[in-house]
Amino acid sequence: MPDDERRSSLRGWLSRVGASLTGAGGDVDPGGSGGDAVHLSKALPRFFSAMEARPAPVLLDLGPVIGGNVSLLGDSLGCKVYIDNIFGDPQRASRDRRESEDCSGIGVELRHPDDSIDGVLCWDVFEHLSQAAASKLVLNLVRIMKPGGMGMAIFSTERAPHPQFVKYSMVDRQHLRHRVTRAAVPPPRVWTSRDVQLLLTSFAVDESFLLTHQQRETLFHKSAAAGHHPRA
Amino acid sequence: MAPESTFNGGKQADRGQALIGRSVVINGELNGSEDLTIEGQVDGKVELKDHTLTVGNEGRVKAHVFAKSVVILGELVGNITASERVEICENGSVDGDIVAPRVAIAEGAHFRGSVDMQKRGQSASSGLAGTLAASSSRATA
Repeated sequence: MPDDERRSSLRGWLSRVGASLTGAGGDVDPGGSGGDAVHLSKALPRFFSAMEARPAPVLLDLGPVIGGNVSLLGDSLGCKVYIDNIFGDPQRASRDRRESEDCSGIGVELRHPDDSIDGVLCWDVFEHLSQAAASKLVLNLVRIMKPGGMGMAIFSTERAPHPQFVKYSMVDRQHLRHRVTRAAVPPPRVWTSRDVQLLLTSFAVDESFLLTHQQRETLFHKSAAAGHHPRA
Repeated sequence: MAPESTFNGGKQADRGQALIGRSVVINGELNGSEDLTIEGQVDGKVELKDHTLTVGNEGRVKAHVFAKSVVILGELVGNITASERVEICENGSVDGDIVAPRVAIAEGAHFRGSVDMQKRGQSASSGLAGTLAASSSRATA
């Protein structure tokens, strides 16, 4: 390859990397992280709005505890937030799964009373669950969510280039910082639109956004008519 | 056991703050009207109404805690009710429910439970409603 062509190719690659880091295509980096990418979220502002409409909402975060998220939710909504990190240490969970290729050991049972949760955040959860465990988790969510309660889920639509877990940190009510953590094995599932629809049949899906960074954000709610609570 | 001001088995830490040393084990109820740092082990209940409880790096607390502010660098198992602020520092660990108007959880901290930052008058379940600070300005780490 001639030098000019090589330089041009390198410039193109750098440009693409730069665009990725600064979040081109609708994404921005208001925090100026310089590392973890910050992406515009379509679902998050709607989730906040829905929770604001509910008095003293009770939220459940199924991801690892992120102090900034707890603070932002508490400050904005004056809410109560339960942190149920169902994976514990994601890297350890990942190693355990590799040994058994079975997610049945992961605690998808949620110890909350029926109809007690207004909003649920399910980010980087379903990717790491088998179909059976994911379905079981959804049944648990149906049981514990209040009628009209809303959930926000993030699904990856393409396999990550590296084995990883992602921690989602709220920069503000519109932006999420994706903090990638290396894990022992790749995520086992990529969720297609059809997969998501099937998974969430017990809920009413409000909106689903396929974003430029190949993630799908889905908002769903428990309909007021969902009176019975199927046990997982 | 309900020591007042001076903690039995304790000593004065820097800046005149009471300290329960790392070799001290207390089972029972602690009441105080000054700031306290725990580097030892406390099982029971801790009440420092208008003061700050610090669970130091070596501290191991299994108790329901009531204080103005609570700072955790070590381990705390139990519920925390604070009228001002709770801070879980890096490597700090809390298993329990927190009720406070301001909560800061550092990167690397362990937390399992719930955080109730419901504003005054909002919560039907919180027993802290009467003690929550009215301040709406909330700054966290």
